[in-house]
Amino acid sequence: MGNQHLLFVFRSSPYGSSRAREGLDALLAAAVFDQRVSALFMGDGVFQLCSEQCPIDRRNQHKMLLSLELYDVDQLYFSSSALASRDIAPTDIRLPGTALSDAEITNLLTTADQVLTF
Amino acid sequence: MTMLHIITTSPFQSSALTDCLSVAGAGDALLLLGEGVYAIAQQDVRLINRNVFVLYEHTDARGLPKRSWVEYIDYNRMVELTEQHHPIQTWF
Repeated sequence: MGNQHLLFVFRSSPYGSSRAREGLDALLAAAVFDQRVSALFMGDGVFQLCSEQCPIDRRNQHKMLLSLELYDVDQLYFSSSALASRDIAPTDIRLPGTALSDAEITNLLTTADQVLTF
Repeated sequence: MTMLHIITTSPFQSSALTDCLSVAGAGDALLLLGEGVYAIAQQDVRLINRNVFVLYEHTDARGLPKRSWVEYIDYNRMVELTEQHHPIQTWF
């Protein structure tokens, strides 16, 4: 399998299910195998971006996301409309990434070779 | 090539359909499967002018009414859809 652009779409909040964690594991695995990897956070997935998480007996999802820079993850994208409807200010996000409008997300999706949703 | 969006959860229980429609391109195909077929339970104005495909076995199983704006398909046509669109995204 050649060098593909894999777009991971995170639509789940961090601790209500194991999806966020499993998605991140899959993303890291893909990055280790030299695939072009980017991540889009939309819907409740933007709750993973809250920087003050203190989970009990769970890995801190936000801290895990902060480690992505070490793995050559191409780009992180955030849905502006999801952030706005949940009262999260883009300036509160500590991760390097780009906030996108719905129309920009439409374009982003079509650039992917594979879209994986978690 | 246009995208194929596969929706597998009921819009009355999950944000999958709403999230999908907020970013789907106008010409993209929507395929409703499993609980996702409940999206045609009502005349949803967001769907009427889109390319909506539904696995007929799944709507028949649930006794949902027939809609003129839906293309009812079988498994063979579903496989064709996966060949004719790129990329494919599943929303659940």
